[in-house]
Amino acid sequence: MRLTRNRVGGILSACLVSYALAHSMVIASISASAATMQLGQIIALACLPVLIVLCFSSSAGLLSVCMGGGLAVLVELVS
Amino acid sequence: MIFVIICGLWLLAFTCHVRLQPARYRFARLTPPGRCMAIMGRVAAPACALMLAIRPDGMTGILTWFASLSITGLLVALWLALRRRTAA
Amino acid sequence: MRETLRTRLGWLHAWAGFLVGLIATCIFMTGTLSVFDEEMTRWMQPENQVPANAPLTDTALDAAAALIHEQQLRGSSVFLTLPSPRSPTLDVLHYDGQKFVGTLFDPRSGVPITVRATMGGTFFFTFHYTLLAGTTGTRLVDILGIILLVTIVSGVVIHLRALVPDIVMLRLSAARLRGWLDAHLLVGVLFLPFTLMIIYTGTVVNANLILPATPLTHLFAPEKPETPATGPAVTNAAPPPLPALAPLLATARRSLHGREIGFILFSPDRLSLYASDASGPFLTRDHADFSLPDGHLLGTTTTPGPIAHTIQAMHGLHYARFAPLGLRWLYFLSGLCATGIIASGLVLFIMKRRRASGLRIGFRIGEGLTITTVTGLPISILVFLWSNHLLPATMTGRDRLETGLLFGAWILCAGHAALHSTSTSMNTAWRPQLVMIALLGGGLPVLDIVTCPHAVRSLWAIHAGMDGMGVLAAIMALYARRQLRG
Repeated sequence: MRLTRNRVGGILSACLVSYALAHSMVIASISASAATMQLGQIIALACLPVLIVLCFSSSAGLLSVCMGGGLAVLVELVS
Repeated sequence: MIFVIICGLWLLAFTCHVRLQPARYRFARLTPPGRCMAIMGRVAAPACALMLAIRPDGMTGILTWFASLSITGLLVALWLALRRRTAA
Repeated sequence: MRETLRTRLGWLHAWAGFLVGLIATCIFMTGTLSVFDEEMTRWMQPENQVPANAPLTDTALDAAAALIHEQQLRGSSVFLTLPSPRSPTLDVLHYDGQKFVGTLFDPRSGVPITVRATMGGTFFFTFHYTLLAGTTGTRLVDILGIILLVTIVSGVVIHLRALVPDIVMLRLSAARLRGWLDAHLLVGVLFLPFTLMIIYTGTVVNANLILPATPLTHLFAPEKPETPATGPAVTNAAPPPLPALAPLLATARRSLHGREIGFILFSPDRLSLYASDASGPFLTRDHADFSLPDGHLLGTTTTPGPIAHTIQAMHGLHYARFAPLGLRWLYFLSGLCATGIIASGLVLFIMKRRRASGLRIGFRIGEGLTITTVTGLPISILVFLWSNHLLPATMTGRDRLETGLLFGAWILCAGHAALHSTSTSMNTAWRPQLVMIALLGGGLPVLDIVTCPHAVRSLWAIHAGMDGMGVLAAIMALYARRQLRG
């Protein structure tokens, strides 16, 4: 039961952090042009599933994506 | 016609692959020169198939190449499964 | 129990795959059918017997232009789709909120063709990407696509060591669970490139819905009320008559580098001729504009650049409208196998947990939903096809009734599965539904020949293909039923 709870918590946090990071990729690409923004979306969509699995699979993965995602959200909030 | 040739080349590649895994697929072990030939066949046949597929049209060719991989692989797997069942 | 990477990802693969797989099977099944949506519509409208590649005449174009002008005078917003090998009629269409409806013209004579009202293949296409729930449905489909990709990535990691060596491994003589697992892995690995491509390009098509180019802070900001547009005042002047369309088509073809024209949009001061989606693997919206009423070329609009081409290629790959018949069949076959991967995953999930949780209510619901998806949806699709041929052609509201019957049949299948979920053996729920698929699928050619013999004779390839698919579904259902007995 505890294992399942940990896993559910893990996947939820993995989704949140990965989404934030993927979204920041799109936001970072807006400034140049509409075409670059679409490229940002293409790359972000390709990365999102991999990021989620990476985050979920190990604490090191979660930590690295967390740092990236947190940094991205901070940059977004400031800008 | 090209599709059939591409499938044939994939068939060759899968045959080489299966012969390189004698324990898994219950085949006799290959001799060292046979192994060498099989490794070459496994690499060269898909490469030739890709060349043949993309010659008329790039995107259609790549799609055809992957589709022929899947379909031929499925047929080879069915043949191997039936062979195993008959043997058992 | 010590948690390893494999067990952790195995849990993710199983649960994400099962929960998403229930809807993903429906999305994949309807998407696979959408590969032949135009052909399906033709099968479902046997009154339309125009052969493929029928020549387009000026008479037909004039007849269509006259109707368009008449509709414009009535204030209706219509567009014209030009004949193509897949859909050889000249269609004056408008959107009724659910589907495109209008008048079909014979491209040779310009005579309107009276056809029965039906959603046709469009139903499957719309269901595939919206689940009939508009933008919310499309967003949900996109999210499911991402979760499916997560499932695939986790599955690949779990199976990585045996991915290549076991690429053609199938052990039919092994235990039943092992056999199902082998089948799931075999089809999953062999069709991995197609599955990845189709899911990824599918999510890219509507990327804006899940990864909008709006900062996160703006997403939570209250929406401002929309201010009315301050554009030029709308004039109530009558739309000018349309110029002859044939010379415009020739000019547009030249301007668009020889590409065929797919459809024409009409606005008060201009008409725009768009390149056909079938003209190449890059799905563009390149068009040539002509002024009204004199039909003078205003210019062409194209989207150059490598990024635009990448996006157009992704759209083209997903929609496959450029694909010739052979490649279309490969798409169809790959789609069927991709549906099979998800369906076999659902069955595996249930089989693995039957011994430990077989009597739990959650398990019963899960198995009931699996049956509703795996066998209930094919039954309801076949009911949809049967009702199309059996309902009177001139009946009003028959298109809505067809759709209603599809959902009615699906609900009945769900009810049937739920009723049997209390019994100890769920085979009692699988078996009757498989027999139903066999009866409806096997009977499809007979129904087709009896109800529309003329169409079967004149468009034998389309009817043979559709009826053949019915028979194939019947054979597969009977085989599965036989396996259940053993």
